[in-house]
Amino acid sequence: MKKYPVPDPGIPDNRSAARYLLWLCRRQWQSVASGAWWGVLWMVSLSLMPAVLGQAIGSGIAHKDAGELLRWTMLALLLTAFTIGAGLCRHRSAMANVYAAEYRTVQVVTRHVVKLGATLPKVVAGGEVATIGSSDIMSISGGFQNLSITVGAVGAICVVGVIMFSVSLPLGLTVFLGTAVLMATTAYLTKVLHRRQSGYRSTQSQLTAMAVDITAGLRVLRGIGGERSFGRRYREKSQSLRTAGEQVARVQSWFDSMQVLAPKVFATVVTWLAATFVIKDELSVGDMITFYGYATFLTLPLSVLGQAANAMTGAYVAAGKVAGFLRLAPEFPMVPADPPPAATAATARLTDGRSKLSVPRTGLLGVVCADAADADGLARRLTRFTDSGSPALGGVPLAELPLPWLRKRIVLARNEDTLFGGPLARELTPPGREADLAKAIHASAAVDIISGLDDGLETVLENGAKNLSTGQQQRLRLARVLAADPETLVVVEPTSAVDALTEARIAERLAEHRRGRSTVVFTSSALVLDHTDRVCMVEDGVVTAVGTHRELLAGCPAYRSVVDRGGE
Amino acid sequence: MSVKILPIADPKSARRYALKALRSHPRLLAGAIGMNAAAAATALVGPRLLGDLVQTVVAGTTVAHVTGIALALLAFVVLEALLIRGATVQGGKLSQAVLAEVREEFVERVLAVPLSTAEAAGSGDLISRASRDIDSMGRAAQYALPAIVTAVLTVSLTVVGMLVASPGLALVMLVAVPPVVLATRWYVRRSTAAYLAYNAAAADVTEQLAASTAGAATIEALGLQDRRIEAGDASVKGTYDADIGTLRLRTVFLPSVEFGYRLPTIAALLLGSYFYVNDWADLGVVTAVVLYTQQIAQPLAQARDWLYTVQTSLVSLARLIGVAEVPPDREVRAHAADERTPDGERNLVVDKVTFAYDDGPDVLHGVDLTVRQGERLAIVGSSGAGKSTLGRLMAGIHRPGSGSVRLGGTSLIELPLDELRGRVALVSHEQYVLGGTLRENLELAARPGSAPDDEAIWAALDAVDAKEWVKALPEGLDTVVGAGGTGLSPAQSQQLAIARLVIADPEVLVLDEATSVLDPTSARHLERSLNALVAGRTVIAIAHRLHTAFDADRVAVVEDGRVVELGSHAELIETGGAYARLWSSWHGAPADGQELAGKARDADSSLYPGSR
Repeated sequence: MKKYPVPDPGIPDNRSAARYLLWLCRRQWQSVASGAWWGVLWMVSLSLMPAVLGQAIGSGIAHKDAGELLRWTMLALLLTAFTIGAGLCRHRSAMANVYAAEYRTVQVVTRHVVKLGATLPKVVAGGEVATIGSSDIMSISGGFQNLSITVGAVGAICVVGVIMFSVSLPLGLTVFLGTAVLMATTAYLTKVLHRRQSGYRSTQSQLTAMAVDITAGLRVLRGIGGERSFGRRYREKSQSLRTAGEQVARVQSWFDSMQVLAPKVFATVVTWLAATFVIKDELSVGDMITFYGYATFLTLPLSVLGQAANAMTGAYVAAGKVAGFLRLAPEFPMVPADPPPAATAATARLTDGRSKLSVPRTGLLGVVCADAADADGLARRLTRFTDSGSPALGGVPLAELPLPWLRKRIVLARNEDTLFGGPLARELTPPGREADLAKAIHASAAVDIISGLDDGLETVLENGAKNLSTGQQQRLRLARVLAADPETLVVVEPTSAVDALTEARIAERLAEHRRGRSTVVFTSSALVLDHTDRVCMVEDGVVTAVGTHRELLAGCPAYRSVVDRGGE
Repeated sequence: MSVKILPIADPKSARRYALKALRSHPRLLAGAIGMNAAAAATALVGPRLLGDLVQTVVAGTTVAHVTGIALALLAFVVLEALLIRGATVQGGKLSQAVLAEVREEFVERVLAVPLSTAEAAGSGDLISRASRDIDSMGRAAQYALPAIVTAVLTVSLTVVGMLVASPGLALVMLVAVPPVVLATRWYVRRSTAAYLAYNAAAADVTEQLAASTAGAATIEALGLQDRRIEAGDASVKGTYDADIGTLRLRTVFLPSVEFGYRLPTIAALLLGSYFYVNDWADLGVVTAVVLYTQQIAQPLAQARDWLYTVQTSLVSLARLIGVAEVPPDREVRAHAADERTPDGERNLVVDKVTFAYDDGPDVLHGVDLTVRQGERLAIVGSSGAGKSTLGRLMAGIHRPGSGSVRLGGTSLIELPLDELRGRVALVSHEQYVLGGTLRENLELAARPGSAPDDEAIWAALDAVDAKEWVKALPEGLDTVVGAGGTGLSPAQSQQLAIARLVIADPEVLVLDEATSVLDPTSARHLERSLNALVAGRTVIAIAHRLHTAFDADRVAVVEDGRVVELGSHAELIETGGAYARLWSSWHGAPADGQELAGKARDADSSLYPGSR
């Protein structure tokens, strides 16, 4: 069995749902082929059983022919052993198909998420990718799981057809027409049932969402006393799910009883017909038992086909969603290239034409925006996370610079950034960056966080560091970006969630840690601004004043109104 | 900071609980089992009549006789179908009733779990119980349990049918017992752990993908592409290993059980012919027995496939009912004292309070503090000094380790929850918008039996500066927010949280960094309009922004779990102590700020020798 993950899942065919599924099939053709092979052998061996039993009773026992009986019984035993073996091989191949489709899809989707990067939140809702990760992948692998059994069912129906028609043409026709009618009835009932079930499931997921809401918002509920009203709302919803569940059971009950009634009525009719043929000497007793066996047996491959049709439809829809996601393209592709010399020159400055902001090659530059909303846009523009204004490095527009090089050269740090799960020491050191982590942790005043953890830097962080307070998360994010040690760092409100004492520490150490490099801090904190070399005041998106913190405090009333924390 | 998992009930009490829950609906239970049994019994008639048919055909008969048998067969088939329908309806009602009880009881218990316990466990544990475990119970009750009940009844009644047809031939069923029993025992011992490992690994795949999606911009900003691909591939490896683990078990289990339930057919052929030759059974009986042996295959195969679902659902049930094992931290007393000061005021008194989280060290060391009715008190201090903990104790959320927190003479932890929330409520910096309409989000704060009218809701929204944006929403108060609805910004969520507090209208309001995500100007504006609205109420505000302290009547400075300074802003500035230093540093006065930073560095470098 092939091992997963594969080192390189390949480039998926994302043109359509069908092409994506075909691509997966081609990639795992061995397990698809062996699944089909064992599927046919298994189902055909099952389909031979009624004939063997019929012969054993009809020509062996009925004629008191010990030799004949022993032959047929040995055949039945061999067939049983073969069925079990083939069934196991089929199951394993089907599972190999499942693993291949599931894991390869996870791998290509993960690679695409990473490739989309900052473009992702702009073009697709996070929830949609989450659905791909949970239910769509399951649907695709469900389709692949049914592949082998489907081929087997088709094979078995053909074999049974040949046997029955060779024994008796009118009976064979009756059986086949009857099964066609049965199949149509089942298909209809299945559709009704699924409709009810999907209604039930959506109520169920709403109820689950509510329970998750209650547990996630427990602290909030505790503070304000919403326990009772929420408990009541949950009970109401839970009872309505119960009613919906009872309705599903009612539809299900018709379905279940039809599942029993239809094939048995049908088998009875076939057997009665066969018995009249036997009386007229047109059929042997063994054949009669065989026909009874087939009338009941055929419901198996037929229900398999019905179930497979459902699974395949589900897989097709899910593959369409996956292919659609894979077709999304990053806004700014990562094309490696050599940057023009103007941008790499020692004197190359980061500038923005529209706001008239110019970032010195070294030192700490504070940027204060009269409208807090401007800061984020300006920071993203300076780092080319959006294309607007006219940002340039050494006179070369950022849009003309190779992105992989630019991302290494200029780094943006925002409070929206995610801390990923993993050992802390590793997560705080971005790859390909040689830096002193201890110094970065010290500079971001995060030493006490690390020493408060049981395993220090070896502690394994949860995704999103949910167990840490917002202030602790903020300091760890700062430590990470300081450890990355980029030539130019653009950071937005790095101390918004920490107390004044910690803020004072960070303010002082930040300047020291970034000595010799270029840093732009968007902030309204007087403590941080006091440690900058120079401050730009931005009003209506344009720099209106430049100077040191003290100079602006003294000479710029607009600046004072944003920064001053005085008591009136 | 270790995460403590909430208690899990032992497997025995989970089984007991499940049986008790089923037995508490005796009529549904009897109906479901009775009708299933009757259906299985009816199904036994078919092969017998068919055997008779074969027998009479061999002996020579008329078409009319054969038609008679066929009609009888049809009648029994219809009866069987009707019984199955009844059994499914009864079983569905039963499983829905039990499921509703289990989940409602779970949610009720979660709502009563002491907050300190829930926090120590983190939200992940509770969330997975609320979602995955409840769903797993649902699958088991809806599909697995009925399938297994049907299989057990079919097999037992088939044996009965065989005994009736021919006690001697019924012996063939015994050959099935050793392989089925041995294989099932072997499998049951191993499968629970294997499937739980698989579930955990599969959840990790979803989780890693969700994390990469949520942090896609961060991945690009810091060049974390390869690392996230690695994390995704590692989660795939985890699931693959777990998948192979369960596949190995099935590779042994599936064929063994199948061999077991297919073997009786062979035995029936051999023994049947022996009986037939010796005239101990006629051909009809032999045919019936062979057909009976075939009849058990389908239900047994289905029961086999559902077996692990039942097992994992018992594990889920143990996790769901385990929540009840958390000891309560409130001890409700019937009557509340009404102690007032000579001026007729009900003060909030913190009396020699200590507190520790679980078995950790004390974070509060004997705090004494009296807040007068109608006073606005600000609590300041550095991170980790114990401010939030003190705030929660003052809101009656935590139980003090020793000492007490009393409002008007009544200890807060002795008040019933409903009454407590009418007196003290808390809003923290954690904003959480619950799924539902805006109106529902606000109404939940109202006291029982007093839903606020629209006027009151709008007044509350106005007080928190949220009126404008709520009005601009397409459906106003009926806009669905939270998970699956309109996304709100952190600032908007925080405004809603404070609006809830206004609607709760308690005697004492505790605001723990409640405005920290708003920008400083908006935060201050909100605090002032809130103060105007709740004038006369006691307000305790924990803040790192010192304008809150400046606006308060008194300021308490908390350091290392103690109140080190207490007084008005002006008094404390005059004293020139910790608060004065904090104020000048926050205010950006250079000299003091430098000194402060220097001190702080000395303090924390000792914790981290590596930084020198």
